[in-house]
Amino acid sequence: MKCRVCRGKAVIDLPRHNASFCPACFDSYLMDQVWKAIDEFEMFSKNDRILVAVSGGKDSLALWDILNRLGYHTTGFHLDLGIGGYSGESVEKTRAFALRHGLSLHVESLVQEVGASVANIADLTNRPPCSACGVSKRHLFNRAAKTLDCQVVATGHNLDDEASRLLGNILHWQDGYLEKQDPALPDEGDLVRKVKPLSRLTEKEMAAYAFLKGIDYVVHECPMSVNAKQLFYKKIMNQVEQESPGTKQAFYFGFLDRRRRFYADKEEEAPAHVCRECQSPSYTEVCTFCRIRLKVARSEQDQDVTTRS
Amino acid sequence: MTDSDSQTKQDNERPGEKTTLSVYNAQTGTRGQVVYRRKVHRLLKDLGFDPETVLVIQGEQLLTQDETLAPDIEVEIRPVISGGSR
Ligand code: SF4
Ligand SMILES: [Zn+2]
Ligand SMILES: [Zn+2]
Repeated sequence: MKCRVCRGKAVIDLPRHNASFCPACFDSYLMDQVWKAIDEFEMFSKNDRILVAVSGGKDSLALWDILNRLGYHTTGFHLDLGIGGYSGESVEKTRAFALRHGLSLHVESLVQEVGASVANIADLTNRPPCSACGVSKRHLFNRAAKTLDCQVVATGHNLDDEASRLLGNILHWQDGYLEKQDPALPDEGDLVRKVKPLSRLTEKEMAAYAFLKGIDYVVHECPMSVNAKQLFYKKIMNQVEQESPGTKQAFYFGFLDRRRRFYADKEEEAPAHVCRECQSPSYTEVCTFCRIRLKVARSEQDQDVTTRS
Repeated sequence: MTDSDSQTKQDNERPGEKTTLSVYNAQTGTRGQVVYRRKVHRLLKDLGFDPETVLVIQGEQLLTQDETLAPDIEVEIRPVISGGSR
Protein backbone atom coordinates (compact mmCIF):
# COMPACT_ATOMS: atom_id res chain seq x y z
CA MET A 1 0.00 0.00 0.00
CA LYS A 2 1.31 3.44 -0.88
CA CYS A 3 1.10 6.72 1.00
CA ARG A 4 -1.67 8.92 -0.37
CA VAL A 5 0.53 11.99 -0.20
CA CYS A 6 4.07 11.00 -1.24
CA ARG A 7 3.54 7.49 -2.71
CA GLY A 8 6.14 6.11 -0.27
CA LYS A 9 5.52 2.87 1.65
CA ALA A 10 2.46 3.20 3.89
CA VAL A 11 2.46 1.99 7.51
CA ILE A 12 -1.15 2.75 8.38
CA ASP A 13 -4.43 2.60 6.48
CA LEU A 14 -7.34 4.79 7.53
CA PRO A 15 -10.52 3.45 5.93
CA ARG A 16 -12.51 6.40 7.35
CA HIS A 17 -10.49 8.75 5.16
CA ASN A 18 -10.01 6.22 2.40
CA ALA A 19 -6.27 6.87 2.77
CA SER A 20 -2.96 5.30 3.76
CA PHE A 21 0.08 7.17 5.06
CA CYS A 22 3.83 6.74 5.46
CA PRO A 23 5.22 7.72 8.91
CA ALA A 24 6.08 11.31 7.93
CA CYS A 25 2.77 12.06 6.19
CA PHE A 26 0.83 10.34 9.00
CA ASP A 27 2.57 12.66 11.45
CA SER A 28 1.53 15.74 9.43
CA TYR A 29 -2.04 14.43 9.19
CA LEU A 30 -2.24 13.78 12.93
CA MET A 31 -0.71 17.08 14.01
CA ASP A 32 -3.11 18.83 11.66
CA GLN A 33 -6.11 17.07 13.24
CA VAL A 34 -5.00 18.10 16.73
CA TRP A 35 -4.44 21.65 15.56
CA LYS A 36 -7.93 21.71 13.98
CA ALA A 37 -9.55 20.61 17.25
CA ILE A 38 -7.63 23.22 19.29
CA ASP A 39 -8.51 25.93 16.81
CA GLU A 40 -12.16 25.04 16.17
CA PHE A 41 -13.03 24.88 19.86
CA GLU A 42 -10.64 27.66 20.92
CA MET A 43 -9.20 25.28 23.49
CA PHE A 44 -6.20 27.34 24.59
CA SER A 45 -3.53 29.74 23.42
CA LYS A 46 0.23 29.99 23.73
CA ASN A 47 -0.30 32.21 26.79
CA ASP A 48 -2.11 29.51 28.74
CA ARG A 49 -0.47 27.06 31.06
CA ILE A 50 -1.95 23.60 30.39
CA LEU A 51 -2.23 20.84 32.95
CA VAL A 52 -2.00 17.58 30.97
CA ALA A 53 -3.63 14.68 32.80
CA VAL A 54 -1.20 11.85 32.09
CA SER A 55 -2.13 8.26 32.94
CA GLY A 56 0.87 6.56 31.34
CA GLY A 57 -1.30 5.17 28.53
CA LYS A 58 -0.87 5.87 24.81
CA ASP A 59 -3.36 8.74 24.50
CA SER A 60 -2.24 10.97 27.32
CA LEU A 61 1.49 10.47 26.72
CA ALA A 62 0.98 11.15 23.02
CA LEU A 63 -1.05 14.25 23.87
CA TRP A 64 1.70 15.57 26.11
CA ASP A 65 4.24 14.89 23.36
CA ILE A 66 2.13 16.66 20.73
CA LEU A 67 1.38 19.76 22.84
CA ASN A 68 5.04 20.01 23.67
CA ARG A 69 5.97 19.76 19.98
CA LEU A 70 3.41 22.47 19.17
CA GLY A 71 5.15 24.74 21.65
CA TYR A 72 2.49 25.01 24.38
CA HIS A 73 3.36 25.45 28.06
CA THR A 74 2.50 22.20 29.78
CA THR A 75 2.74 20.64 33.21
CA GLY A 76 2.04 16.93 33.56
CA PHE A 77 -0.19 15.61 36.31
CA HIS A 78 -0.35 11.93 37.21
CA LEU A 79 -2.71 10.40 39.74
CA ASP A 80 -1.45 7.15 41.22
CA LEU A 81 -4.61 5.05 41.58
CA GLY A 82 -3.05 2.44 43.86
CA ILE A 83 -3.98 -0.47 41.56
CA GLY A 84 -1.06 -2.82 42.28
CA GLY A 85 1.36 -3.54 39.44
CA TYR A 86 -0.71 -1.61 36.91
CA SER A 87 -0.35 1.67 38.81
CA GLY A 88 3.32 0.98 39.53
CA GLU A 89 4.01 0.60 35.81
CA SER A 90 1.90 3.68 34.99
CA VAL A 91 3.79 5.98 37.38
CA GLU A 92 7.11 4.60 36.19
CA LYS A 93 6.40 5.13 32.47
CA THR A 94 5.00 8.60 33.06
CA ARG A 95 8.07 9.64 35.05
CA ALA A 96 10.41 8.17 32.43
CA PHE A 97 8.64 10.11 29.67
CA ALA A 98 8.84 13.40 31.62
CA LEU A 99 12.51 12.85 32.32
CA ARG A 100 13.33 11.96 28.72
CA HIS A 101 11.67 15.13 27.43
CA GLY A 102 12.66 17.41 30.30
CA LEU A 103 9.02 18.14 31.20
CA SER A 104 7.68 19.04 34.62
CA LEU A 105 5.49 16.41 36.25
CA HIS A 106 3.40 16.49 39.40
CA VAL A 107 2.33 13.17 40.96
CA GLU A 108 -0.41 12.67 43.58
CA SER A 109 -1.67 9.49 45.18
CA LEU A 110 -5.32 8.52 45.50
CA VAL A 111 -4.55 6.42 48.57
CA GLN A 112 -3.10 9.49 50.26
CA GLU A 113 -5.95 11.77 49.21
CA VAL A 114 -8.92 9.49 49.91
CA GLY A 115 -7.44 6.86 52.20
CA ALA A 116 -7.99 3.89 49.87
CA SER A 117 -7.23 2.54 46.39
CA VAL A 118 -9.83 2.59 43.58
CA ALA A 119 -10.84 -1.01 44.30
CA ASN A 120 -11.25 -0.38 48.03
CA ILE A 121 -13.14 2.87 47.47
CA ALA A 122 -15.51 0.98 45.19
CA ASP A 123 -16.07 -1.69 47.86
CA LEU A 124 -16.54 0.76 50.70
CA THR A 125 -18.86 3.14 48.85
CA ASN A 126 -20.80 0.67 46.66
CA ARG A 127 -19.90 2.56 43.53
CA PRO A 128 -18.54 1.02 40.32
CA PRO A 129 -14.73 1.46 40.37
CA CYS A 130 -14.73 3.64 37.24
CA SER A 131 -17.28 5.98 38.77
CA ALA A 132 -15.24 6.44 41.97
CA CYS A 133 -12.14 6.86 39.84
CA GLY A 134 -13.82 9.42 37.54
CA VAL A 135 -15.11 11.56 40.42
CA SER A 136 -11.69 11.56 42.10
CA LYS A 137 -9.87 12.44 38.89
CA ARG A 138 -12.19 15.36 38.10
CA HIS A 139 -11.78 16.76 41.60
CA LEU A 140 -8.03 16.28 41.88
CA PHE A 141 -7.27 17.47 38.32
CA ASN A 142 -9.15 20.69 39.02
CA ARG A 143 -7.45 21.18 42.36
CA ALA A 144 -4.02 20.54 40.84
CA ALA A 145 -4.70 22.98 37.99
CA LYS A 146 -5.47 25.72 40.49
CA THR A 147 -2.50 24.96 42.74
CA LEU A 148 -0.11 24.72 39.80
CA ASP A 149 -1.45 27.90 38.24
CA CYS A 150 -2.81 26.24 35.08
CA GLN A 151 -5.78 27.77 33.24
CA VAL A 152 -6.86 24.59 31.50
CA VAL A 153 -6.87 20.81 32.01
CA ALA A 154 -6.24 18.71 28.88
CA THR A 155 -7.11 15.00 28.78
CA GLY A 156 -6.29 12.31 26.21
CA HIS A 157 -9.87 11.37 25.26
CA ASN A 158 -9.97 10.26 21.64
CA LEU A 159 -12.71 9.90 19.02
CA ASP A 160 -13.54 6.35 20.13
CA ASP A 161 -13.94 7.50 23.74
CA GLU A 162 -16.22 10.34 22.71
CA ALA A 163 -18.30 8.44 20.14
CA SER A 164 -18.87 5.49 22.49
CA ARG A 165 -19.79 7.84 25.33
CA LEU A 166 -22.20 9.62 23.02
CA LEU A 167 -23.80 6.31 22.07
CA GLY A 168 -24.26 5.39 25.74
CA ASN A 169 -25.68 8.81 26.57
CA ILE A 170 -28.14 8.70 23.68
CA LEU A 171 -29.27 5.13 24.35
CA HIS A 172 -30.28 6.25 27.83
CA TRP A 173 -31.22 9.82 26.87
CA GLN A 174 -28.92 11.31 29.45
CA ASP A 175 -29.77 14.94 28.70
CA GLY A 176 -27.60 16.27 31.50
CA TYR A 177 -24.53 14.49 30.09
CA LEU A 178 -25.36 15.18 26.44
CA GLU A 179 -25.57 18.87 27.18
CA LYS A 180 -22.07 18.79 28.60
CA GLN A 181 -20.47 16.47 26.08
CA ASP A 182 -18.13 18.95 24.48
CA PRO A 183 -14.43 18.80 23.55
CA ALA A 184 -14.01 22.13 25.37
CA LEU A 185 -15.89 22.93 28.56
CA PRO A 186 -15.42 26.57 29.56
CA ASP A 187 -14.27 27.51 33.03
CA GLU A 188 -17.05 28.15 35.46
CA GLY A 189 -16.32 29.88 38.74
CA ASP A 190 -13.76 27.73 40.48
CA LEU A 191 -13.82 24.99 37.83
CA VAL A 192 -11.06 25.37 35.26
CA ARG A 193 -11.57 24.88 31.52
CA LYS A 194 -11.43 21.25 30.35
CA VAL A 195 -10.39 20.25 26.84
CA LYS A 196 -9.93 17.12 24.71
CA PRO A 197 -7.54 17.93 21.86
CA LEU A 198 -7.47 14.33 20.55
CA SER A 199 -11.21 14.10 19.92
CA ARG A 200 -10.76 14.05 16.13
CA LEU A 201 -8.42 11.04 16.24
CA THR A 202 -9.17 7.35 16.74
CA GLU A 203 -7.71 5.05 19.31
CA LYS A 204 -5.79 3.20 16.60
CA GLU A 205 -4.32 6.42 15.23
CA MET A 206 -3.12 7.40 18.71
CA ALA A 207 -1.57 3.99 19.29
CA ALA A 208 0.17 4.23 15.90
CA TYR A 209 1.49 7.69 16.78
CA ALA A 210 2.85 6.44 20.11
CA PHE A 211 4.48 3.46 18.41
CA LEU A 212 6.04 5.50 15.60
CA LYS A 213 7.39 8.08 18.07
CA GLY A 214 8.89 5.37 20.26
CA ILE A 215 6.74 6.38 23.24
CA ASP A 216 6.95 3.69 25.89
CA TYR A 217 3.41 3.48 27.26
CA VAL A 218 1.41 1.05 29.39
CA VAL A 219 -0.12 -1.42 26.93
CA HIS A 220 -1.91 -3.45 29.62
CA GLU A 221 -5.48 -2.52 30.40
CA CYS A 222 -6.48 -1.16 33.78
CA PRO A 223 -7.74 -4.31 35.57
CA MET A 224 -10.84 -2.39 36.70
CA SER A 225 -12.01 -1.82 33.14
CA VAL A 226 -13.00 -5.43 32.47
CA ASN A 227 -16.69 -4.83 32.98
CA ALA A 228 -16.77 -1.23 31.86
CA LYS A 229 -19.87 -0.60 29.77
CA GLN A 230 -17.85 1.71 27.57
CA LEU A 231 -15.91 -1.23 26.11
CA PHE A 232 -19.19 -2.71 24.93
CA TYR A 233 -20.24 0.56 23.25
CA LYS A 234 -16.82 0.82 21.61
CA LYS A 235 -17.22 -2.68 20.22
CA ILE A 236 -20.60 -1.81 18.72
CA MET A 237 -19.26 1.43 17.23
CA ASN A 238 -16.35 -0.46 15.68
CA GLN A 239 -18.68 -3.05 14.18
CA VAL A 240 -20.69 -0.30 12.54
CA GLU A 241 -17.45 1.39 11.43
CA GLN A 242 -16.22 -1.80 9.81
CA GLU A 243 -19.39 -2.08 7.74
CA SER A 244 -19.47 1.60 6.93
CA PRO A 245 -16.17 3.44 7.41
CA GLY A 246 -16.56 7.05 8.53
CA THR A 247 -19.71 6.46 10.59
CA LYS A 248 -17.98 7.00 13.93
CA GLN A 249 -16.77 10.47 13.06
CA ALA A 250 -20.02 11.37 11.27
CA PHE A 251 -21.93 10.37 14.41
CA TYR A 252 -19.78 12.38 16.82
CA PHE A 253 -19.04 15.42 14.66
CA GLY A 254 -22.70 15.50 13.57
CA PHE A 255 -23.75 15.59 17.21
CA LEU A 256 -21.36 18.46 17.96
CA ASP A 257 -22.78 20.43 15.03
CA ARG A 258 -26.30 19.95 16.34
CA ARG A 259 -25.65 19.99 20.08
CA ARG A 260 -25.87 23.73 20.47
CA ARG A 261 -29.16 23.67 18.58
CA PHE A 262 -30.62 20.82 20.66
CA TYR A 263 -29.62 22.38 23.93
CA ALA A 264 -29.73 26.04 22.91
CA ASP A 265 -30.68 28.89 25.23
CA LYS A 266 -30.21 26.82 28.32
CA GLU A 267 -28.43 28.94 30.85
CA GLU A 268 -25.51 27.04 32.31
CA GLU A 269 -26.40 26.43 35.94
CA ALA A 270 -23.35 27.13 38.06
CA PRO A 271 -23.06 24.97 41.18
CA ALA A 272 -25.10 26.66 43.89
CA HIS A 273 -22.98 25.59 46.85
CA VAL A 274 -19.44 25.60 48.05
CA CYS A 275 -18.51 22.23 49.55
CA ARG A 276 -18.26 22.68 53.30
CA GLU A 277 -15.35 20.23 53.44
CA CYS A 278 -13.05 21.37 50.63
CA GLN A 279 -14.56 24.71 49.54
CA SER A 280 -14.79 23.66 45.90
CA PRO A 281 -17.94 24.44 43.86
CA SER A 282 -20.63 21.84 44.41
CA TYR A 283 -24.28 21.18 43.55
CA THR A 284 -24.77 19.80 47.05
CA GLU A 285 -23.62 20.89 50.49
CA VAL A 286 -20.79 18.36 50.45
CA CYS A 287 -19.23 17.58 47.05
CA THR A 288 -19.23 14.04 45.64
CA PHE A 289 -15.50 13.65 46.14
CA CYS A 290 -15.72 14.60 49.83
CA ARG A 291 -18.73 12.34 50.33
CA ILE A 292 -16.62 9.45 49.01
CA ARG A 293 -13.67 10.49 51.16
CA LEU A 294 -15.82 10.74 54.31
CA LYS A 295 -17.52 7.43 53.64
CA VAL A 296 -14.15 5.70 53.27
CA ALA A 297 -12.95 7.25 56.54
CA ARG A 298 -16.15 6.18 58.36
CA SER A 299 -15.96 2.61 57.03
CA GLU A 300 -12.36 2.36 58.14
CA GLN A 301 -13.23 3.62 61.63
CA ASP A 302 -16.05 1.07 61.84
CA GLN A 303 -13.67 -1.69 60.79
CA ASP A 304 -11.18 -0.57 63.44
CA VAL A 305 -13.87 -0.75 66.10
CA THR A 306 -14.96 -4.22 64.96
CA THR A 307 -11.40 -5.55 64.94
CA ARG A 308 -10.72 -4.13 68.39
CA SER A 309 -13.91 -5.48 70.01
CA MET B 1 -14.05 -27.97 -1.94
CA THR B 2 -15.73 -24.74 -0.91
CA ASP B 3 -14.65 -21.25 -1.93
CA SER B 4 -13.19 -20.52 1.44
CA ASP B 5 -11.16 -23.76 1.35
CA SER B 6 -9.53 -22.84 -1.93
CA GLN B 7 -8.91 -19.32 -0.58
CA THR B 8 -7.21 -20.84 2.47
CA LYS B 9 -5.02 -23.01 0.25
CA GLN B 10 -3.91 -20.07 -1.85
CA ASP B 11 -3.26 -17.99 1.20
CA ASN B 12 -1.48 -20.59 3.21
CA GLU B 13 0.05 -23.51 1.45
CA ARG B 14 3.00 -22.66 -0.70
CA PRO B 15 5.64 -25.27 -1.37
CA GLY B 16 8.53 -24.95 1.06
CA GLU B 17 6.88 -22.23 3.16
CA LYS B 18 6.51 -22.44 6.92
CA THR B 19 2.97 -23.23 7.95
CA THR B 20 2.95 -21.71 11.41
CA LEU B 21 3.63 -18.23 12.69
CA SER B 22 4.55 -17.01 16.19
CA VAL B 23 2.14 -14.43 17.52
CA TYR B 24 2.55 -12.30 20.64
CA ASN B 25 -0.39 -10.45 22.17
CA ALA B 26 1.10 -7.38 23.88
CA GLN B 27 -1.93 -6.76 26.06
CA THR B 28 -2.39 -10.21 27.53
CA GLY B 29 1.32 -11.05 27.34
CA THR B 30 0.51 -14.41 25.71
CA ARG B 31 2.49 -16.10 22.93
CA GLY B 32 1.43 -18.85 20.59
CA GLN B 33 1.78 -20.54 17.22
CA VAL B 34 -0.98 -20.05 14.67
CA VAL B 35 -1.52 -21.08 11.05
CA TYR B 36 0.65 -18.91 8.80
CA ARG B 37 -1.22 -16.41 6.63
CA ARG B 38 0.52 -14.29 4.05
CA LYS B 39 -1.58 -11.19 4.49
CA VAL B 40 -2.15 -9.20 7.66
CA HIS B 41 -5.92 -8.98 7.17
CA ARG B 42 -6.18 -12.78 6.83
CA LEU B 43 -4.26 -13.34 10.05
CA LEU B 44 -6.49 -10.88 11.90
CA LYS B 45 -9.58 -12.59 10.52
CA ASP B 46 -8.32 -15.97 11.76
CA LEU B 47 -7.61 -14.54 15.20
CA GLY B 48 -10.94 -12.72 15.34
CA PHE B 49 -9.55 -9.19 15.61
CA ASP B 50 -11.24 -6.14 14.13
CA PRO B 51 -8.44 -4.29 12.23
CA GLU B 52 -9.56 -0.99 13.83
CA THR B 53 -8.76 -2.34 17.29
CA VAL B 54 -5.15 -3.51 16.93
CA LEU B 55 -1.73 -2.56 15.62
CA VAL B 56 0.17 -5.30 13.82
CA ILE B 57 3.93 -5.07 14.22
CA GLN B 58 6.64 -7.30 12.79
CA GLY B 59 10.35 -6.68 13.15
CA GLU B 60 9.78 -3.13 14.56
CA GLN B 61 7.62 -2.23 11.55
CA LEU B 62 3.98 -1.20 11.65
CA LEU B 63 2.04 -3.10 8.97
CA THR B 64 -0.97 -2.16 6.87
CA GLN B 65 -3.75 -4.66 6.14
CA ASP B 66 -2.47 -5.77 2.73
CA GLU B 67 1.14 -6.22 3.88
CA THR B 68 2.81 -9.64 3.49
CA LEU B 69 3.99 -11.28 6.71
CA ALA B 70 7.43 -12.83 6.97
CA PRO B 71 6.88 -16.42 8.13
CA ASP B 72 9.88 -16.61 10.44
CA ILE B 73 9.58 -13.41 12.49
CA GLU B 74 7.24 -13.13 15.48
CA VAL B 75 4.21 -10.90 14.92
CA GLU B 76 3.10 -8.58 17.70
CA ILE B 77 -0.62 -7.87 17.96
CA ARG B 78 -1.12 -4.77 20.07
CA PRO B 79 -4.74 -4.09 21.06
CA VAL B 80 -5.48 -0.37 21.23
CA ILE B 81 -8.87 -0.17 22.93
CA SER B 82 -9.05 1.03 26.52
CA GLY B 83 -12.11 1.11 28.75
CA GLY B 84 -13.36 3.13 31.66
CA SER B 85 -13.49 6.89 31.97
CA ARG B 86 -10.27 8.74 31.59
S1 SF4 C 1 -10.61 1.74 33.86
FE1 SF4 C 1 -11.86 2.69 35.45
S2 SF4 C 1 -10.67 2.48 37.32
FE2 SF4 C 1 -9.26 2.07 35.63
S3 SF4 C 1 -8.31 4.04 35.25
FE3 SF4 C 1 -10.07 3.91 33.87
S4 SF4 C 1 -11.73 4.88 35.02
FE4 SF4 C 1 -10.12 4.45 36.48
ZN1 LIG D 1 4.02 10.00 2.64
ZN1 LIG E 1 -15.52 18.74 48.76
